[in-house]
Amino acid sequence: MIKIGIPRALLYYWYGPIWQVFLTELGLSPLVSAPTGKKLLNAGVKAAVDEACLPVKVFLGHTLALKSKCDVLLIPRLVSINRKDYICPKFMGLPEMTKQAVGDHPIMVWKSEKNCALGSAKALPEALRQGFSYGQIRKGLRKAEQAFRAYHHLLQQGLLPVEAEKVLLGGALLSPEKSQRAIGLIGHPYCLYDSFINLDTIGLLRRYGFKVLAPEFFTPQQIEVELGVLAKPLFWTLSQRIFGTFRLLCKQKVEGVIYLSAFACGPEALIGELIKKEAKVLGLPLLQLDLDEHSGEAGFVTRIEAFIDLLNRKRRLSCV
Amino acid sequence: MRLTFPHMGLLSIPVETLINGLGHEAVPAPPTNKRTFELGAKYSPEGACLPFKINLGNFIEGLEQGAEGIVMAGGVGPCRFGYYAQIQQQILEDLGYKFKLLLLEPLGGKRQELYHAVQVLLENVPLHQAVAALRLAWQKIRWVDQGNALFRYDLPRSKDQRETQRSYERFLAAMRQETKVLQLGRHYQKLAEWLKKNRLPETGTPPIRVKIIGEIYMVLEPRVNFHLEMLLGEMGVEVVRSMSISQWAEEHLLGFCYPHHRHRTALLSEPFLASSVGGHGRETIAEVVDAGVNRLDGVIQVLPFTCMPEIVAQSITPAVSATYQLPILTLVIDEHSAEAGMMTRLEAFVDLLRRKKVRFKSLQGYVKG
Repeated sequence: MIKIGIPRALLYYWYGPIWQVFLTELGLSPLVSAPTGKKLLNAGVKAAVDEACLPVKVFLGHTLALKSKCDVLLIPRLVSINRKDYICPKFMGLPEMTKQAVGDHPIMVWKSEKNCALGSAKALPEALRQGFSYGQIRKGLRKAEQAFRAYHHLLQQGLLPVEAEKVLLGGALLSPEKSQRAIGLIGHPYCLYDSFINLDTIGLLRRYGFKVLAPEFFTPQQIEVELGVLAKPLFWTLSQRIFGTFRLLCKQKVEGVIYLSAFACGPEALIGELIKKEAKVLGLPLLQLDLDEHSGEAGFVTRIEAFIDLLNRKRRLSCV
Repeated sequence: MRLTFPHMGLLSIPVETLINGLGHEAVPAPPTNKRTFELGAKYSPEGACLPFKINLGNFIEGLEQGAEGIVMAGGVGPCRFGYYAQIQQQILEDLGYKFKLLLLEPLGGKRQELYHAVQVLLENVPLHQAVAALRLAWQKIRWVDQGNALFRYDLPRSKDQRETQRSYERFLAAMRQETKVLQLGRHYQKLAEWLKKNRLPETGTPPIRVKIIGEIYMVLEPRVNFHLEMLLGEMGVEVVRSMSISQWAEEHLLGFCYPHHRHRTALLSEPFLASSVGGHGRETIAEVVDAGVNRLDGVIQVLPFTCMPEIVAQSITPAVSATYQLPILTLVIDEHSAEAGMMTRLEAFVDLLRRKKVRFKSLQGYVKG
């Protein structure tokens, strides 16, 4: 059976299950790379140009790890998933960047066609379209779309991508933890859910008894409403989600918000400014942390703990 | 209204003409200097790219000179330039400046903003006068770009380089003052005469030819790229560059009249980069291919730190370089870059190119002999 490698990085956290379901339906065997680790990250850093951002380096690390294990790599080229929006220039050049890193290894490119990341047969890699009948592909896509809906429905119920994926591929539904105190966590999905590069921030916050609210827990419709305040619509889908979620979190009365951004991330440099201003106006505690390949656990955890201490203090004072 | 605008190389010449011609008063910020860098870096977000910071510095200095409005261009992504104006406006307002933002959005963006800006710009003069001003500005930038190309060609070939530079300065000053379209060509001819008088006799070994590519702001603004073209010219290198303000305007503003620019980019970059990546990423790849096909001696890519499209291009250039056996030097510039470091790298690169050329020549002689 042909093994197709899917890197567990970048927007895998949104589209991973769909690709898996679709490929299985066609009778191919998808192979997802193992979670990020030290060795993998180092390989990625070596393969990428110095100026690339951390998530791209992680992505290249995953492709290198998969290279020897699979026959073909599935690389997404997600240009635009909503009308008039983009993801980021680096996503548009991802297949070419990967080609530089993996050399001659065969690559399949999953394009986002006509403002849609899935759903149309045109978005599929050339090789798949030629190898299977139209009916098979249509059926596979329908299944994949169902899986996409189910997956995002699970995410919106407050499950993390790892948990949601388990449930989707046949597992028991865990009831999300009930906790009184809520904390917001915003950032790109590949910064929030890769527990290696963010040093398991979600786990840490949960250990402190917080319910973590992330952008994926809200529906796109909810977020769309919040974007009306902007003078000019943002043209990066992920940044829209971050900004919209931040405003929603303010309304939901979370105690504070932690913003995880990647070093050298382009859009975040500008969005950070908008969010900081918004936080100042609304009076919400905000901690912005930059992730890069040199992040040390001690420094990172200290800052989060200090932030939590601050929230505790604020809470005590407001009770009195 | 007293209007200021961001600097980008020779852009101030036509923009000043246009604003004055439309019956407003142009208040150009002082040419980008150390203080501009400092102001920009101080008030901008840390991770913003260098053009953002310099633009902000220009705006602050322009507003200090008494400007009441800012003329700025917009965009529709995915490059960050499209969102510059909004963030800069917010920062400037927080700093307490009072001004009006005239945002020239492209047609694909928010039309209202564009209509409003055009309305304000055109309110002072009748339409025929506005058209005349536009025509003068357009012809001016075309001639200035021509003069610049001539200057780049002649600098490494001149007897006295100082004289060449002085002639060019004189030409620019005359162009800035000129108010008649018909006179523009005369100035150019005068420059051509001056340069021709100063040219060395042909020796048979042409100077090394290097192409400069990359992010448009960094390529075109000499005060930010440490006068890259001047430095290379003084080292005896002919600088080739197809990117210029008039070319940009043809491609992006008048694309329907000049579709060949876009076709050329797509055609040249297709084997290496199949999709547009925003900004000038795809153009960069196309230009490297062009340099390789035309057997230039080397390519220098200039980009600001954290520029997204150029990083994609930078990841791909090694493949192009290997295909055409073309040396590429990538210079990443931010507000901490210094001239000495830049000089060293340029000198080393030029030495390398010279050596390569000499060795290639001797090899050729060996094969023939």
